[in-house]
Amino acid sequence: MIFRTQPFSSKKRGPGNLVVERKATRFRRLIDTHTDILETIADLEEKQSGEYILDRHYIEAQIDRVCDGLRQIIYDSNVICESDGEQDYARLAGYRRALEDVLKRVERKDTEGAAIRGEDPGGWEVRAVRSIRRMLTRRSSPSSAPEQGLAETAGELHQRTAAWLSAAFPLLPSCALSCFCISGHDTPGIEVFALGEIPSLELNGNWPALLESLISGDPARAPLSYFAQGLAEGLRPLGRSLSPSRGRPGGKGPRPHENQDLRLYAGGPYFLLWFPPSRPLRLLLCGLSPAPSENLLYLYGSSGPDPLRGPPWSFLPQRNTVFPTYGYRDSDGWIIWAERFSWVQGEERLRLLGYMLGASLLLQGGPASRESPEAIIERVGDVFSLPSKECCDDGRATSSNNGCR
Amino acid sequence: MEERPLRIMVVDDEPIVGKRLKPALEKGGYIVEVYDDGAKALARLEEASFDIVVTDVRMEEVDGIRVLEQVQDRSKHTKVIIITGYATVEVAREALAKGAFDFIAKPFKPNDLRVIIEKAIEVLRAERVKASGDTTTA
Repeated sequence: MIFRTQPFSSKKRGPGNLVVERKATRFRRLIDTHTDILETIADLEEKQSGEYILDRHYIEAQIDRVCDGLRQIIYDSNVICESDGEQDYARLAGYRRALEDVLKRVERKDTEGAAIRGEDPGGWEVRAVRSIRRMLTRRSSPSSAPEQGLAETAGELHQRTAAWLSAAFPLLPSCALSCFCISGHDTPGIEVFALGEIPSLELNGNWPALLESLISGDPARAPLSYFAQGLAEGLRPLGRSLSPSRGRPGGKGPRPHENQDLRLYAGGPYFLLWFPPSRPLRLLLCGLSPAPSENLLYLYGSSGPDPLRGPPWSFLPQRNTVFPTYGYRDSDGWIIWAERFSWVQGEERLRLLGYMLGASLLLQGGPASRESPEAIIERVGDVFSLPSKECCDDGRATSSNNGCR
Repeated sequence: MEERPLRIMVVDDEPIVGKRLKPALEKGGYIVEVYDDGAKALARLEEASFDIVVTDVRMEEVDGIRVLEQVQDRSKHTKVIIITGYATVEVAREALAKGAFDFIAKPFKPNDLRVIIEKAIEVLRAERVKASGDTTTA
């Protein structure tokens, strides 16, 4: 195991690296802005229940927040992708107009004493919040397509930018995922840097044991170690098929990284797993929102050049709490997926997801052998002693750590 | 000592606030008067006293700080609770510095305000007990 810390400033970087670094930093901001938009929508969702007393100022502030957020995403995306974004800005203007129109229309209906008055004790404000939230989260469909909502546009821009970065810097898909940077295109292999100190754990032959050492780390510093623990369980059979890495006798021969079958980088809220090209998933990055209040778990994956061998969607249990805005895939095989996630529920939920992903990866490695999420959950239940399905009748047994104990 | 029902004034130019708060607070046995016009509220404060005044800080013409000042001029005992708009916590701080009892940020649940009101009532009771003790001693 090579366990090292690589401060960002510890190596000289050329101009090319600076470009990557800036793009990666900007992409990180794009992710944060996207998260903020999702949080705002989640807040609207909570407030539409009618329990809260809210007023026009709140609604206006939320409209401003999502529109300003989208403007920032458009700007960052177009700077990264080196495009002008004219259409994106036009779309943003359309969203703002439509949202403000909804607000005015619902308020006017109330003032004019429309039939709906009195129906809702929360007043027109709550109805406006509902309409606005609906409008923000509207999904386009190929058959009957109303215009897509702002959230979907933000997701598409996020995805488009990630795909652009992946294509522009094929040696470093990770730069599209976090603030990781390549040390130089002239250097064979990959050196990973990060803003701040990100420990990097390189896994060679005995990777399950090494993974174990990560797992035994402090979860408060690397909460995704729970995810790693589940993943290790799910991937255990794969460990047998990986050949140990060969060294470089006499300083010659392949560099260690050229023989690595699988790499794991973990630190803080990030967790990056690099699979050998033979696997259906080339790269996976998980990220927890850095603050407990920003409770999103992200998974990013790249399936490589062959989109038909896409990432393992099937590991996601049906009816789980996937945030509806996410779940995209483009022709390059990228997925971007996020789940509402409570740190309180953290440990087992992460372990469960990790296991399901690992098991699913194994299954997808073989020809047409797929296991249903339900079947995986059955097995996971055995491994982690999860509550039985009878625990919840509403389907939450599939995500059985969501408080049904 | 028999306690009279507490009198609460709610001032907010967004009618929905008074509309929602009045029934919610009356359930607690309080006498509640609601105003969506700061000027009218000030006029009412000239002729009647209230134990607690709940006022929005941002209103057209007469704002919550003005209401707070008028209440303090007329009655030192009245507790003023400030309702702040979304992301106007700075103004709330200013109100606290000027002597407001507490503040609550919109959006909020009626029950959140009830909790603050109950705290204010405790303070009022303690002040009354102290005042009656002082009178007895004198």
